[in-house]
Amino acid sequence: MFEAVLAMKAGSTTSRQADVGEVMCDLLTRVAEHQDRSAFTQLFEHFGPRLKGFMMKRGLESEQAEDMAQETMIKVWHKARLFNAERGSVSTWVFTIARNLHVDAMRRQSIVKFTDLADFDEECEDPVSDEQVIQREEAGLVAEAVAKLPAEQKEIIELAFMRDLSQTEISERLGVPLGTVKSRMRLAYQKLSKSLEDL
Amino acid sequence: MVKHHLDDATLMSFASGTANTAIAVAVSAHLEMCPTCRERLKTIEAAGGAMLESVETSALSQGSVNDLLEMLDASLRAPQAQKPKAISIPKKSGGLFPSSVAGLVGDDPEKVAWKKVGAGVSLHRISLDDKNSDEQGRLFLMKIEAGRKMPEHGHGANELTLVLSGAYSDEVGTFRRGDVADLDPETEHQPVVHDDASCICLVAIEEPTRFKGIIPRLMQPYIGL
Repeated sequence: MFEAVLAMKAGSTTSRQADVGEVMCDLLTRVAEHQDRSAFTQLFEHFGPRLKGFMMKRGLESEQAEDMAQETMIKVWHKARLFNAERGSVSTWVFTIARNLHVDAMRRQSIVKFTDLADFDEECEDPVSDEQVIQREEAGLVAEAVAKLPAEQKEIIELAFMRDLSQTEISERLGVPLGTVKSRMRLAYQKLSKSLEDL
Repeated sequence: MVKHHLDDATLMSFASGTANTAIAVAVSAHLEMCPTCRERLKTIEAAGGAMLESVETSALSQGSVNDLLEMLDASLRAPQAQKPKAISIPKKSGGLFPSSVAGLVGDDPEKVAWKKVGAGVSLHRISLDDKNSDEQGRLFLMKIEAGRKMPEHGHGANELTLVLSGAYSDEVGTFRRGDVADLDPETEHQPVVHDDASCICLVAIEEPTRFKGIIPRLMQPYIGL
């Protein structure tokens, strides 16, 4: 439903992502505060096909990928109260949950609990009241920066984030030295962080 | 205040979930001690979120929503299993080891099974119980006595050294608790541990089988290889 509304707004990547971000944040809040199943279903309508696509890119068969998409959403329901808009967008949060589930399934990095790192963040909290707004804007800016990355840098981070390839595997797949993979990753990171400088 | 940080590429691998276990533990331990790198991680994870938004979607099967709601009901009936604890690890234990390390070796450095491997150098290999043993890499605690000078050496492509206590200085600078050496393979250095205390480091090595790793290289003068 909201997809149709969003489709009519022919905005830039930034504003589209910001709009999606706002809708998703409201839906997630309804899940967290009212255990709202209709909001949960709408979240699934948005994220389900993306999560399934993501899991398939990571090498899972269609059926397994859909299972993982559903499992991710079950985690979203149970963790909804822990979502902190100050740490990033709903999409980013869902990405980290899906990534962790996949990594767990592969039993790699599995003894490391990424999400728990949020627990350490209090001390550097910024007393900015409109932090949430900034974070939403930030997600849009990062999305735009990703879209604008030079092809060879974008390729590398897609191979890592979407295709689940390690630096070594990327270097083998592309036939470039490991050092080149690393330096493209560094360049990509520098562009991403530059995109946030004006905030 | 942490001065030596993770390489951008290392953080990218960690954020994408493609770092191997040994490296991931060391990254995680550094992140616990370094607000700067936690901020950087947020930016990188935001890129993951953006890619999820724009990924090629795959249509869900018919009845997927109903299946989901059934799974939800089942999970709600399950006793406590799905309920997240608000905080699942002790916040900064106050101990020497960050919780990602304490979870593997306990929180008392005195109780670590140190093995003396040379004059003034002790090691403890941390067992990583992963299914993919060839993907897990190797993880060590290394303790070097106060004032000890290490032989000059280089590093492999993906190795991290994180200082947990004490300090050392080398050509790159001074490394204290929380500082991580995520060095270029070309960098040759000769660390000297400060005089006031022994230095305990966490060392993560990506490659499992390569025997030219940091340990043999460091130990060469002692064990006469």
